[in-house]
Amino acid sequence: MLPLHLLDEDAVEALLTGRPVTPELAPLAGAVGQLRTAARQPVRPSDELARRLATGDFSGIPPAPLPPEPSGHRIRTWLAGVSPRVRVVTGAVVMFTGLTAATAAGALPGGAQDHVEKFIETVTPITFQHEQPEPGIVEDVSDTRTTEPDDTGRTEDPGEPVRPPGKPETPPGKPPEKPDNPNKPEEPPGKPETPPGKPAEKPDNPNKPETPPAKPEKPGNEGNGNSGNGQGNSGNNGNGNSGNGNNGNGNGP
Amino acid sequence: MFDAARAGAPWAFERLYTDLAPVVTGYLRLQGAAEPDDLTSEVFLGVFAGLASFEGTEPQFRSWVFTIAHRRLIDERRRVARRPSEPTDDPATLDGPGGDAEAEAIDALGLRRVYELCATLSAEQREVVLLRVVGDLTVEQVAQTVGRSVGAVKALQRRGLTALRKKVQ
Repeated sequence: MLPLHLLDEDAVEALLTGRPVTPELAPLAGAVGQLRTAARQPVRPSDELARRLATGDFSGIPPAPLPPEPSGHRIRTWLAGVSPRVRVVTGAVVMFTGLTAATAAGALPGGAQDHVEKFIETVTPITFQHEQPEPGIVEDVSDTRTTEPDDTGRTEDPGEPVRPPGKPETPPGKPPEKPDNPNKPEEPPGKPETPPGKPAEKPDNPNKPETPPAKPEKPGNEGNGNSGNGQGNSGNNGNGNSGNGNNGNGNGP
Repeated sequence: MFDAARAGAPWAFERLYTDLAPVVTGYLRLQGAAEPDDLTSEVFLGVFAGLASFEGTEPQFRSWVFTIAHRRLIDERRRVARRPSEPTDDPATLDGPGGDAEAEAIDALGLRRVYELCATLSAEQREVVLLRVVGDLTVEQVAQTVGRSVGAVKALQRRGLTALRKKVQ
């Protein structure tokens, strides 16, 4: 006789559906058969049900609630009821979300991964970072941020990152901002643009600026917008330091 | 047959009732319903009243009917919740309210042994095993009927059969 714990899934299904089982399970199959047989006795309907069965008229009776539809059926039903424009927009949103997720997971082929990353970084605030800066370079960045500004309000250039070809440092037709404007501080005094200990740039990746062109790090901050122009002048990503230096010069005695 | 029933053909209602009412009544009786015949009639009144809105196959209709029966059973249990015990959990109670005549009738139908078997199962195990055996529902249909996951239903039916096996050996 099989141990009790050897009642596997196939045996359970055979017992419950009335299929033949092994001789060891015959007593159990007989018990299950008794359950099945006992529940097949004819039953007489109530007077009201008998009357309505005879006429086929069930009006005036609260109907039983219908079974819930599967979620996939609900989605198809919803799609069938909306306009073609909504269907197209919904499909585009679903595809773009899936593409972004696949890109973030690095699941796309090599060439497609780069192209899609650039596209997503262009049209969304999302930035993909898959290269960690080397520790030594991070120290150089830290030294750059603590460098005192010179007389012009600019910090020393620790190594200008190479800009992508064809991209101007300042938008065409927009003059670069004067860094020595004392009446317009770029940053509030004592407020660094980046938190201490956090590198503000990635100089080991010269082909890829940290933020998209003409896009401030903190949207809505006027001082940062000026810093963005300052970045174009100096070619230095340490804009917060530059702005603080200007502010110090302008407010000084 | 569903189309004929939706059109109000009495023969179609009669056929549906004849096919399913015995197993629905058996399920309700083994589950300890106080008045399984009346409860079955209530179930079919509601089902036939809502049949015009039902769309599905015969197995789906069967699953729907047992879902309604299960809900009506829960409603009845709530109504009689003040009573301290469930009739089928203790086979000795079968001899009580009905008297000797009812007990003899039950014995004549061979139901006493079935009640004893059901009494070895927990309420959850009995619910699942009866829906699978009496209702002839799939695991997924039972899961939808009782509001549990498929895995939970499988575990309950396995433990129920193990308990029955201990009882019959």
